[in-house]
Amino acid sequence: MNAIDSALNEFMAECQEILDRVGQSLSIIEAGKHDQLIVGSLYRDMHTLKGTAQLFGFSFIGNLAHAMESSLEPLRKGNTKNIDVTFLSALFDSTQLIEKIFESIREGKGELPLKAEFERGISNLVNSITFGMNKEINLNSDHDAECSLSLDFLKEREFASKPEVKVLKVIGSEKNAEKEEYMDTEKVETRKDVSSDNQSDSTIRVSVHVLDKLMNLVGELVLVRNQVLQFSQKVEDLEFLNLGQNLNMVTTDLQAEVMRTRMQPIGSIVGKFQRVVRDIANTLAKKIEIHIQGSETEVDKTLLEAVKDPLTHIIRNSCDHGIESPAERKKNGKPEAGTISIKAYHEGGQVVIEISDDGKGLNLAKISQKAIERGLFTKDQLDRMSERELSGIIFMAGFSTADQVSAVSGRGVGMDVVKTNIEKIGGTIDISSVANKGMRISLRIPLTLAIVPAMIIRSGVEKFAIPQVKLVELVRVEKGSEGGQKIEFLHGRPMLRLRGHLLPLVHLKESLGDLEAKNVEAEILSADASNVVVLHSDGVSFGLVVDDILDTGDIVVKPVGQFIKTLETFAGATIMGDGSVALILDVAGLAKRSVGEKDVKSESQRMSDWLNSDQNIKAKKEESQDFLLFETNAKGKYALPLCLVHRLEEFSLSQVEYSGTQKVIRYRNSILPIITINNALDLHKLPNSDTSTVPVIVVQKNSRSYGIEVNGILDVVSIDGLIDDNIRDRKGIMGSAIHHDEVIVVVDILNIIDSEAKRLGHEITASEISRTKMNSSRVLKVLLAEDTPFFRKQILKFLEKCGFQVTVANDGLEALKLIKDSAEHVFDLVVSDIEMPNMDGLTLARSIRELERYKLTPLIAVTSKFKQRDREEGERAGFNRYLEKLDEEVLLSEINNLVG
Amino acid sequence: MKHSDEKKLYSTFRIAGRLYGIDVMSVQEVTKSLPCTRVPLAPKYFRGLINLRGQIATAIELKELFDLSSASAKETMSVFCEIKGSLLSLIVDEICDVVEVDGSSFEDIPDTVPKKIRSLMSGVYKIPGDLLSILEVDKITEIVLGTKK
Repeated sequence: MNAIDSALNEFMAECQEILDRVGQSLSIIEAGKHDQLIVGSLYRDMHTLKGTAQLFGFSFIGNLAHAMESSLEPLRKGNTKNIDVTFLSALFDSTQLIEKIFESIREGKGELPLKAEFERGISNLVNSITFGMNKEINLNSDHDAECSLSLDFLKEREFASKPEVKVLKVIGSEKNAEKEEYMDTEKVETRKDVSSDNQSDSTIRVSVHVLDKLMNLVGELVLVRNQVLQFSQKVEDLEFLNLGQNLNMVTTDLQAEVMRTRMQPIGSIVGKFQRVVRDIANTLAKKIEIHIQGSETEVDKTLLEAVKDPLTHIIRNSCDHGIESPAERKKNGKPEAGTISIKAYHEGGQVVIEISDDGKGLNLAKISQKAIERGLFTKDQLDRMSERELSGIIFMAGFSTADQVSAVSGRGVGMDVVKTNIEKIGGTIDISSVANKGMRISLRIPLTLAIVPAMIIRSGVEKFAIPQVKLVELVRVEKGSEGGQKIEFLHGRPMLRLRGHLLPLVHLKESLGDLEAKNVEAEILSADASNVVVLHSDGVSFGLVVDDILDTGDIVVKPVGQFIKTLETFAGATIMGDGSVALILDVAGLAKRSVGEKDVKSESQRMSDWLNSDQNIKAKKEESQDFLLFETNAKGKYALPLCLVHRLEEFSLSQVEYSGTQKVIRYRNSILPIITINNALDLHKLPNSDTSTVPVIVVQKNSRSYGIEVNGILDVVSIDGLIDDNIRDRKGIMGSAIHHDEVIVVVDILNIIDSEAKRLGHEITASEISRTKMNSSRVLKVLLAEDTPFFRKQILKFLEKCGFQVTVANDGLEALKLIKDSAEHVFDLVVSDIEMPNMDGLTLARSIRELERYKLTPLIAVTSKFKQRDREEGERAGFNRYLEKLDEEVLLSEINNLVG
Repeated sequence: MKHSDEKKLYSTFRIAGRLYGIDVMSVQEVTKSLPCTRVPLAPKYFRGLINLRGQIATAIELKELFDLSSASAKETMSVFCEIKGSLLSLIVDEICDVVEVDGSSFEDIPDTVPKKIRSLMSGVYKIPGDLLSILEVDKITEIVLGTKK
């Protein structure tokens, strides 16, 4: 880069600063909160801009700035309270025009392409000045000399071609001599001002690259310091020890200061939005006020730059889509002027920026409609989404709800870009919207990219860092302590009762592959005390059992290869005080892997593991299952298998309608039949149980939704898979189970739905079943592979009802074993789940197809993984059909088609 | 692949007695092995992370990557090279000379070499008394660090 280029860059950066400041000053003036100081600073800024621009030969900018400067003259000298609106808006326009010219220069096109605009702009400015000036003259006649002076200047430069100015020329020419003299003294005066209180003089510009390097070096210095300190204690030389202490203090201070160099108040970008909002409001003929809170909140410079564009976009969106026109607002009983507030604050080591408006909120219906039009989702999928998920659609690529593409927003690049940009810097974005009340978007961004407050823990001999953001609390559980707190085991999985709730525990050693799952119990029981780090991420809470909790402190996140992140266990690495590298745990990944029960073992390992232990099958049979607990009129808790629950809803009593005598609720464009659990189970009404809301559990069967009305939804619990079916005091009950010393009644909800469906005419016709029986001369043998006990039982029951002879396998491996062990072709049909432990359905299908005698046997997949991609993969693996779980109607007809 | 007659410089080293080389320009420095932090769950060839004066390098056990018998040398060496912004530390048994080779002695890796290993090499030079395999460092970075895509 040559000298001129670098000078030009310097100039650009400085001008940008000036323009930012000018924008802010103008906003203050517009709000009427200005004083002599603000006008003074504005005047000086224009003066500096004029000078530097002309130095570089940018005459358009120079002339505009000069004109603005001159026009401000009377304001600066005299009455500053009366500012004409037209004049002010001309100033705004001119500032914008200057920015536009800048943009053109930056792109290397120079000023010329904007000549026409420049001429128009300057004449507008002159017009408004003339207009304002005449008023001004009337108000303060003693200022007329200076007013005409300014205008005279404009004339001399031949900026203006409008007749109004020509009139003023006459006044100007009389004072020509005086003008020259005046300008000279003015220049000297201004210079003085600049040096005395211009902010930019107390700062210098340093490239971020240099700061980064500085930061790295300080990091190194800290390491050296640590080593020196350690050494000084060993030597026992008092003087050396003192020196070491001094070095320690200086280094700590230095580190803090260097970190501060990268911090900037958020106000430096947020302040700009006043002008953005103002401009948009003008374009759209809306009235919008903007409130900014917490503009002093400091954020790392790089992050600040990164959120600038997303923030601008969000604010433009709020102005365009959110805030209604004044007329519309009036009609809805809102004040004519809409409000956008920006609030920034620190929270838990992060910076939160909230942008809220009091506009019309998100139009969910329209979002759904657009999502279908764009082919992003099917209607079915949308029906299952919560309002929150629906709102989330606006973050998808290529999504815009604006009917018309306006100049302000809605050009197809939208919130998806915002989301990606925020996520790129490790932030999150959250949206909440209330129809006709407005919406709020909150951005959470880390304070800095590089430094994260973290907790250092030990597992084995290795140290790991856990970001504080994800940390909830630390619990130490001592063996045999009086308080009674201890780690309990549910099917070998450790659990901790924490304030009445069951917190699943994950042993870090197991997550790191250093401890086998079956040894976790022994490991925990043998320890005198367990350290539990309670973590929360993506709505999942769990406790991480670690060997030791060491320290907290700020760690510097170092870039590492992408590969490490694909392990879903580590978020990165850092360098510890002693110079060793420590991995940073990825809490979200751990949660996903451990709580989501993802098996990390390879296929071959799984196979050998399985062959080594035949007990595996037995263990699997006693697998726990999740249940949803709810209240009914009867005492005690009732439950239904969570896998059946489609959604949980709460309707207000007024939403309940009747179709004949059937309770229904209009639900996502269709009518949801409501089954009142109390009626179905014949439970009598308790006194005083009237509420205004109706909690409803939505269950799907055979592609239809049914709403189960309950008294209240309590919790989700994990219960031993075995349901004791000896105690069944009435129809519709499957049995009971014990959880936390309480008896829980498990409702046979599918049975209830069946009898309800019969009434509604949804039932599978008996003829369909008999057709199957008729079709085959002998009893068909079916192999069913399904790991979830509940589904296994249901499908088994149904298949037997249809007259098949069913053999059951608990997973893919077991099914394959059954097939391989039988000498000849035994099964006429295989029905299999896709997601199963030990061997999944896809592998099973491939393995079956490899056997000569099963080449043509029909294979049906029943699954909840029901995306087009999954289906195609299933078909490639060798499945003849790929069906949704529990849709018995379709299952039966497909069996008929394949076998018949 | 036809190579011109121009001379090229390679830093060479031995792993399990075999001679390998990488472009001399991509080598940043060579050190004796430094303390290394294990990365649990990672494949075997992924030795761990090394702190090289504040920069974190990914240590690659070439012996594992090339499926060579792990009769480990007493003292291993690290060859640090920066590729596409990420710092790699290749763990080798012994550092050899920088050799100048002639383009005319270059050949593609013959097909009898397993494909997995062949894909990590850009070719072989026939030098007096030995064969020098040239590592395709970009490819190694791609596989090892998952920088592809």
